[in-house]
Amino acid sequence: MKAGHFAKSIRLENVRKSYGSQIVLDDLNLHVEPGEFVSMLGPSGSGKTTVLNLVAGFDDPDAGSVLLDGGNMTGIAPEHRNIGVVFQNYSLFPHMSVAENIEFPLRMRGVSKAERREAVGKALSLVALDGFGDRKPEQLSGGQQQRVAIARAVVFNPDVLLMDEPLGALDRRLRGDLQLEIKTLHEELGVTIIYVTHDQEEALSMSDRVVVFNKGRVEQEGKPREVYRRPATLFVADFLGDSLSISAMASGDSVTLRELNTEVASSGHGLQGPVRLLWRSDQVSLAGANDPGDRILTMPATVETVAYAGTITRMRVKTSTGDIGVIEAAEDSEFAAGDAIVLALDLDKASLLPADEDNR
Amino acid sequence: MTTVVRPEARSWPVSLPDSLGIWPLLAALLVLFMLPAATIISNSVTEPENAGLSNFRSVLTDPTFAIFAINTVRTAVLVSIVCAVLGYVYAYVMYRSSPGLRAILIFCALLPLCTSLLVRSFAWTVILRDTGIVNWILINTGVIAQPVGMLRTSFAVTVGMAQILLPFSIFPAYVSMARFDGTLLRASRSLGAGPVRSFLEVFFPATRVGMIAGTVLVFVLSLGYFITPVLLGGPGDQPIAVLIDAQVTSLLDWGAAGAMSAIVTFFVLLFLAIGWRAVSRIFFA
Repeated sequence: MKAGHFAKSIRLENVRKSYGSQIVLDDLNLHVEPGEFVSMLGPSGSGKTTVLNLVAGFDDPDAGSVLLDGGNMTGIAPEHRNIGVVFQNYSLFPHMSVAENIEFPLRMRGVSKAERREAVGKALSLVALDGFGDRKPEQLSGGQQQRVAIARAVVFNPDVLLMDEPLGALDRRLRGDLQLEIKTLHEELGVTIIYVTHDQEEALSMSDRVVVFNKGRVEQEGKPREVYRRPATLFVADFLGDSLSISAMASGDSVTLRELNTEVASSGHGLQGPVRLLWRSDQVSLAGANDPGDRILTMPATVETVAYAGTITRMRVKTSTGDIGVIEAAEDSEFAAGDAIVLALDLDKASLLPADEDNR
Repeated sequence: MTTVVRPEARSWPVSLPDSLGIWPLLAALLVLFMLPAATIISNSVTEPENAGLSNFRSVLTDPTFAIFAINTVRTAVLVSIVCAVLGYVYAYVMYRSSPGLRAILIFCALLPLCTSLLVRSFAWTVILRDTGIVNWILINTGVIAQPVGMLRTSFAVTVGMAQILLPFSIFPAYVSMARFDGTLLRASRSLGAGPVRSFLEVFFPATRVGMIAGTVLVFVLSLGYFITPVLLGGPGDQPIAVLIDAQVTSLLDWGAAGAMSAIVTFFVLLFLAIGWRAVSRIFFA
């Protein structure tokens, strides 16, 4: 990550926002470094798009402040903020050609015609659409339209680039291509990017940092691997992929599996009472003939559903303790629903989470 | 496996009716409208016998016809301009209103269509006459000392016709606004255009087609107006329809009337053809 010379930081401090009686953002704090690529991930209605609207200036917070490089932006109209926005439905101006769309922000800023033409040419080659300047948006494919929208949003060197589910309307293959293009673009321009998505793979693969939203609050934030491997809550664990978790009891310094009467961990991370031990589905293996060793917990389970997923086979299993989770098996494994298996659970790889009744 | 029946691609802007339900309507239209119109127009070449194009020759070289034609076009242009501006503004107010207020505004816009043309035109004579409410207000507020003669002027004709034709420009304009993607305005604001520039550079160009479609309708409908100019206008405001009426009722010259009708019909169809792209984008898209 290298911050471009125009990249700026964004900070949200104690931001509250309600629409009617519905609280959308509840005392939210968020910081984005200059040049950082941060993804905001969460289910719809979790507040992530509202954050985008507040940063863009389409809306103002009820309380708290939005700071751009330390300067308060409350009350500043969107057109005076110098922030690029890319929308899910592209939002290209239908009556303007591709080149006219891209030069629009420059024209609004009083840039001369010659400079505009040069900048539009550069922006078009940045998104690999050289020679498309004279076309109308309707003559382009969805992927091409979104690339034009990206070119239009970066051509005026914005302080921050906001992207609101930009790939949501595209098919899966195209989405993959554009993810890489956006990542490359970020590296080339060094612009600060706030990227809203509900696609966990997208968030994990593209960002420097992932912020998981739930009900108007930040549930967890961190590097993609951190958030994926060490989810802080069951909500985050569930939202970012498949896992298997079993219930346990934390008291004092030890965590015990009640059903097996086994002490499995020493430090309870300060947690007391009901907790869950969680493994990502790829961290669960099937017990072999060998002695598993004393840090491996073996647990009988029943296969409930088998789903072939190309590179792996995904199975929903029910453990002898009654917990249900999803594990991965080899692509060529031939399990069927009802098969009895034995799981090998590495206690050193387990995440310890509070047993959150709300999310179960 | 189920077979998915897909509607066939339209090659025409209007698809042919696919059920029999519309045929009685088309039949009624044929008998009650198309046949009489065709009869009148065919008179232009059959009255008197073997007239050929002589009726057209005499009508097109007749200075009286030219004067009435100019009256008609001038009135139509004035009414079209007034309706284009007022209709777009009214539609924009509707677009920006809350759903409740919008319903009231739609009702008010439709109201002129629910009352008789004759009654409305008479109502304007009451409003605009020397002792009418407009002069009464102007005099009592001290704007003028003597009543201004508004009746029997182009002003009265324009006002009366614009009121009646306004819905035809309001609704196409509103349709184009309702279809407008609001995020385009957000995009434009984020790209550095203020509210006014966003309106002028993004909103208006994207909704202009509705204004054009409405104006085409208003212009075409204005060309055939009869009662309103007769009741509200002066001698210089009388349209071709009056001349046609005179040919038939006073001069019994069905041939000349037919030729004039044919000429008006030709221009109506011509203007419709010119504006068809806009009209079809609003009504058949």
